[in-house]
Amino acid sequence: MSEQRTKLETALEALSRWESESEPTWTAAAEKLGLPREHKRPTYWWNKSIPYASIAAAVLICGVLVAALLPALGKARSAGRGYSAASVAPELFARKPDSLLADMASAAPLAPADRSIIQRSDIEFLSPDVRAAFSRLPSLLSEARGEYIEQSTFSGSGSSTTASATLRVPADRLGTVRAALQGLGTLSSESSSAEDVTEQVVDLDARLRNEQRVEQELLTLLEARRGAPLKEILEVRESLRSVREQIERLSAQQKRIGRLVSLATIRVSISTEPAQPAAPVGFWTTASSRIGSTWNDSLKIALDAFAGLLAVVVGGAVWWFLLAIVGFVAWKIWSRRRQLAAFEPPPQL
Amino acid sequence: MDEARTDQDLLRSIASRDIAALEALASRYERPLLGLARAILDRREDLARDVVQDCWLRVVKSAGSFRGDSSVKTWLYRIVINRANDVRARWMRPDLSAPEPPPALHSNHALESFESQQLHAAISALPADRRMLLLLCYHQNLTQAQAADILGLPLGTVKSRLHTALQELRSRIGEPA
Repeated sequence: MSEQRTKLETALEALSRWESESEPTWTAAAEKLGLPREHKRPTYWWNKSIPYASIAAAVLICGVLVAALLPALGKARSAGRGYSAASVAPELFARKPDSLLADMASAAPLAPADRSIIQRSDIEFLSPDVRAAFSRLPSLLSEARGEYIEQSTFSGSGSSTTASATLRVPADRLGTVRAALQGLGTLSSESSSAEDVTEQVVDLDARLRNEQRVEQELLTLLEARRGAPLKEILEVRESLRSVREQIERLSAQQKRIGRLVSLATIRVSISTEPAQPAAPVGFWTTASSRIGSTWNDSLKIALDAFAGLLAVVVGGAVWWFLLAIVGFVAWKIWSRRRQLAAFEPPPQL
Repeated sequence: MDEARTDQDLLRSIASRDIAALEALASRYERPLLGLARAILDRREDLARDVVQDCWLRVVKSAGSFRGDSSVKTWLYRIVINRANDVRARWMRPDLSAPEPPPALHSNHALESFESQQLHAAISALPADRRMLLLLCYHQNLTQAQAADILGLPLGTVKSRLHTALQELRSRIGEPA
């Protein structure tokens, strides 16, 4: 009996025993809740010691460098000559790392071709047919070379027609495009300017490299401290987000300056050219022309006067009507008085 | 290090979204909870996994509001039992007297002995309260006092009901009392 009971109890126990090997359910729950799905790793003393070990390694490297450089520096001084990198420690600089090479290159004076310059040019033209000149602008640019009209306006009519456009052309094509623009009309003014932004470019490059280095360090730290408390991980991620934002901002600035440097700006203005004065002609031609113009002027004055009169009559109709009523009433009163005076008896003597 | 921490400590850390604490708590209770859920749900492993996963979701969400009136273990078992009962009522067939064998993917049914199948069928046919009592009282390392705590019953009631349930089970499987 007791054996059977034990058998039953064993079977009952086996009913609720989980023997399957499968992925734990808590990870799926953590994923649904947005908790980072990272497996906890045991924290060892060397995990905590990584920053201290890095600092110790850096101090050691600095010590080795100083020890290697100082004797050579002393030799150079005692020889009474200036020292250069090669003279101080040739064997060290013969094996300089890529990053050091890049820094040295950025610190060296730049060749003219390496300078970053933003070029701008303003040109004003006079043309008898502004619309025709304006419509010729696109044909002067080469889309294949990336040239385009950034902005354009056309306004006015007749002698007050004006047009303006901002053209973007590759910096090396600035001269060619300006020469081609000469055909648009009579050149009335021209000015050019150039802004050297090399310092800004170098500064941006350096800041960007620095931020990228910090980003890499944070990523390494995040990887090394995967088992750290959630609060610390979130703090590192927040720093990472901030650094990445800064990188994006600097990259955008770099691209904008790069665009300004690679494409020169030409601002073109086209105005209507004033009509040329008439050439001198004979007496009769002049007299008939004068008479014709005088007749036209007088006709214009007469028409203007008539139009003014019409405007006074029509525009003041209400007032004229009121004035007419007042005049009529006054006239009636005056005539009534006259009639009464006619029938008045003669004075008695 | 987490092995030394109490369930309450782990729950406090879970409230501050410490995933390591959740892992530590799950390493203690996940397998027993899965086993119990599977037994309640007629050996449906997929449903059991869903139930226990829901349990962890609730643990993370409600860890901050856990008052500590009962032990964390009791709380976890109550969550799983309630959820499993809900799932059973909603998704499983009302006629449990002759359960169909679940798909092979969800259990190792084919490997089970005839006796085990017979026992399972008999347990499934029991009323819900007696079935739960039997499963809990013979669940891994769970004492009758803990089972009574989980079910919210006095210990004496649990003992007497267990006796009745065992007798009924024996009669169903044709075993002499």
